[in-house]
This record gives sequence, structure tokens and C-alpha cells, in this order.
Amino acid sequence: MGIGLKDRLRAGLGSMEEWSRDRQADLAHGVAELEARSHQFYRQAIRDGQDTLAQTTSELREFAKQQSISQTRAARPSQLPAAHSGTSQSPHLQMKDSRPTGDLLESSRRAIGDIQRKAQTALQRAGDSGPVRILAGDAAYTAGDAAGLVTGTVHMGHELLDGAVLAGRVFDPTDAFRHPVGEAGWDRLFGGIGAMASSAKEAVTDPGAAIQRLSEAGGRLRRETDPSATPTAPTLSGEVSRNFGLGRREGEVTMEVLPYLAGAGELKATAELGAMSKFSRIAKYTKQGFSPVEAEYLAQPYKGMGHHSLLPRRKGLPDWLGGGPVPQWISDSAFNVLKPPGISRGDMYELHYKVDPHFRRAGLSEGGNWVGSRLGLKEYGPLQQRWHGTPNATRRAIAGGGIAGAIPFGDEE
Amino acid sequence: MMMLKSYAECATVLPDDHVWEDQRVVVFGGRLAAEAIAEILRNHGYDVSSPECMDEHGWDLNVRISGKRIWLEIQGDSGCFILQVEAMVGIFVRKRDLDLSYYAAFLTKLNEGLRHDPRFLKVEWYALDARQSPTGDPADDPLSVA
Repeated sequence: MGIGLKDRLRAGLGSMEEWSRDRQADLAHGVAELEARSHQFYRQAIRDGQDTLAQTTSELREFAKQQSISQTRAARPSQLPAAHSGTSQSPHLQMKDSRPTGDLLESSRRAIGDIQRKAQTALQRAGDSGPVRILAGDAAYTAGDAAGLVTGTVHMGHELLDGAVLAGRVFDPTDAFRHPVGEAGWDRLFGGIGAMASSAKEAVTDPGAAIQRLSEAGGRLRRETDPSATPTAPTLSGEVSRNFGLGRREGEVTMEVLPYLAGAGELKATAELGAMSKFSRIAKYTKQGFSPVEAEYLAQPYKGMGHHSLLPRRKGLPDWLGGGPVPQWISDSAFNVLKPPGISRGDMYELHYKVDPHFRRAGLSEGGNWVGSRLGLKEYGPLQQRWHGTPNATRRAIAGGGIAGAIPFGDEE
Repeated sequence: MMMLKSYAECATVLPDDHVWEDQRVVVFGGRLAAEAIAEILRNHGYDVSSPECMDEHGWDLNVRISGKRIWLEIQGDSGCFILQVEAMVGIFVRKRDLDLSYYAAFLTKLNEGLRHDPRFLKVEWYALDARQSPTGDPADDPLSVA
């Protein structure tokens, strides 16, 4: 019974994925066809000695569109070459065209062809209007968003299905005998629990890092899906295509971000962002006078204990609390330690130097040293030390958490 | 008025004890100097903790005197190191109630011990400005820059 349901679910998700793949293929096919037509028109224009210049793809497409319009107006429908019958003509319509027909079918076909051509011409004319392109782009964005949600859901569905299959294996008494050690259902379950516990522990012990990752994912979502981040396409089809792609990406990234918001799933590291900025960091440290080896060392991710802000390590408990050192779970908590996620060693040293008057220098490579005063860095004054040196977790707690706490600010961002 | 914090820059014959791996620092330097200072202080009868690694901060020592604590931090370098000393006083203690004679005695003994120990070549004490940066001319006596 359960297997049948799973099979049906898997089949359903498979068909959704197939549908999505078909739509993407249609879109790609349409774009390729448009490109081919553009080049065809351009070659013809050169052969005919027309005075034309297209330096960019957009100009080439615009030229092809104008040529298509003029030919549509000039030619009789029966004289139009097949490729002129519209970029949006689907394979189904082309199949209808090739079928043997009687008089009634023939007249119907012509009528449909006329309607298609008129609609195509109207669309192309409408494409010359900016507002129409924007409206069509909005509609395409919404459609793309829905498509992205579908593909994202399909991916998540497969993961859930894998979980369902795993659950079935866990309760199968023969599973441990049929799979090698490490691959049996219980082994995978325990491994998964371990990974989840690890992520949960990280979220508890370092909430700033978890929130930072969520914030970065949100930033990525904005960058990759903001229509205003890329120029408007000069043609209607281009604008529709651009917005569909952006919308689809938004849908997919939304599904990627969802686990963060739900508190489930793996907290993905943003190592790629760190790698992107590593070279600029090396350049910065080299400019500060460090050797290439030292600069590379300073550009590495910082993995030290951080700056103990509110309760410095040297401070102990007051006598009325028994004296002795501050318990480690308090001293090393995210509320007390300034350690921005993803910060480089060199940047952390600079920040540490500015907020902590006791940190003045650190060893680098053999014979080399990092000395804040030699770099011309200025320490913050007492108030600035308190402001810049307070961990974001504490600031969020003071701000009341919630939305106010999610606002990134200060040196930790 | 006695300062609660003191700062010295010292020259030493102790070897650079940073631990490197592939030209990267694995353990920051200053442990040998911290152990030497702990030895000097123990010889003066103080209760001194073992050196504790504080990453890029260096190495910490804690000295207990009749329930009071003095904190020392050594940031090692090749041939020299920074020594920071602070009397750890509760934030609720009123200044007029402070009796820092134990701290003055401690600084005096520490300075004498460093100066007489052949492992240390030079000890220079500096006053600290409002931002805790060393300022002014170096002095031989930590109490003179207070």
C-alpha cells in the first residue's frame, strides 16, 4: 500500500519535472529559432546590399523583427516561407500544417494561419511599446516564479521521498542484512540525526552565523531575481524571456531559502563568497606591506577565539559569586564573543585591534608580525569600542530580537 | 593615584617559540617568556597559575594574593615581547576603598625579577593613554609611570 502511494507520488513528481523541463526546452527552442531567423535576415540583407548595421544581439534581433514585419505586410500568406509564420508557433501547429486536409480543413487551417499571423504582427507591434513590454514582462515574471516554485518543489519532493524510502528501510528487519555497514537504513538515519544535531548545535551556539547565512541567502535572492538589476530587453519576446528566467530563479531560490526559514535542513556555508573576496583581501594585505605568504595567511578565514567583549577572558567572577573564572558557556557564548562569520584573519586582527586595547600584535610567518600601530590603525574610543565590539547576538537581544534583530549592522556584517 | 594597568616592552634571549606549520602560526609565541615570568614570581612566593594560551592575544598568567588577582598577558615576538599587567578589581569597588599596596609591591618585585634574570635583556615601562596605548618615554620603574 505504502509502496504504491510512493510510486504514484514519484510518478507525479516525475511528470511535473518533465513538464517543467519541456517548458524550458520550448523556451530555449524559441530563443534559438529567433537567433537563427535573425542571422538569416541579416545575411539576406547583406546579399541584397541593404544599408544595415547590427553590432549587438539586440540590434540583430531588432533588425530581424523589422524585416519580419515588412515581409509580413508585403507578402501574401501563401507565399510566406515556413520560418516566417511566427516565432511562437508551436510544434503542434506545424504538425497540423503538414497533415493531408480536405477543403474544410484547408480553409480552417488558413483561417487559423491568418489569425496567427495577425496576432504575431500585433504582438510584434505591441513589443515596440515600452509599457506593453513591461506588462508582458510582469506576467512572464509571475509565470516564471510559478515554474520555479514547481521545480524547487520537485527537488524538495525527491528529498522527502528519499526520506520516506529511508523510513521504510528503517522498519524493514531485513534491511541491515541486505546493505553493507554504513549504508543500512539505521546507519543513514543515525548519520542524518548526527548532521541535524550538528546544525542545530551550530544554530544554538552561534545564532549570529545562522542568521548571517539566512541574510546572505536573502541578499543572493535579491541580486539574482531583481528585474531592475538587468536592463530591459529591446523586444517583447526578449523582455518576456528575461522576466520568465528571473521569475523562475526567484521561485527556485525561494525553495532553497525555505529550509532556513523553517529551521530545517542543512545550514549551508557561504564558502564561495569567501573565495570570491579572498583575492581582493590578499591584495589589501600585500598593499599593507606584508609578504605574499603573510598576505595569504591573513586572507584565510579567522578561526581563533574571537574578541570576548562584555566579559573579557581576564575577568573573573566577583567574590560574592564565588570568584574564579567566568564559566566557559557564558564566556564563549555568542552573546559575549565578537567573531563575525566568514571574516578573514587579517580583518579580524584589525577589528580586534580597534575594539580591544589589550590586543596589539600577533605573530605571522617566521620572523613576521602583525602590529596594529605599524599599520596606522586607530583604536576606537571607549564608546566606539563598546558599540563596534558588541556581538550582534547581544545587540539583537537588546533590540528585542524579531525583525529588529534581523537587521544587519555593525562590524559583524 | 595608582594605575590598575601597567605596560612594558621587554627584550629577551629566549627563542621565538611560535609554532608554525607550513609557514602558518599554529601556536602563538610567548609561552617561554610566560613560564620564565611565572618562575620569577613563584620564587618571590606568589601563587601563579600555569601559562594559558589565548590565541592571538598570547599567553596569560594569573597571580593570586590573599584573595586578590593580578592578571598578566605576554604577547611574544622574536627577541622581544609585550607584557601587560592589570589588578583585577571588582567593578562595584569604590576607588576610595581601593588598597593597591599589594599591586605596587607586586610590580616592584616583578620589575626587579625581570631585571636580574639573564633571560631578559631590557625592560621598559610605559604610561598608557586614554585609549590604553603606550605613550611618553620609557621608564625603568613601573611605579614612576603610574
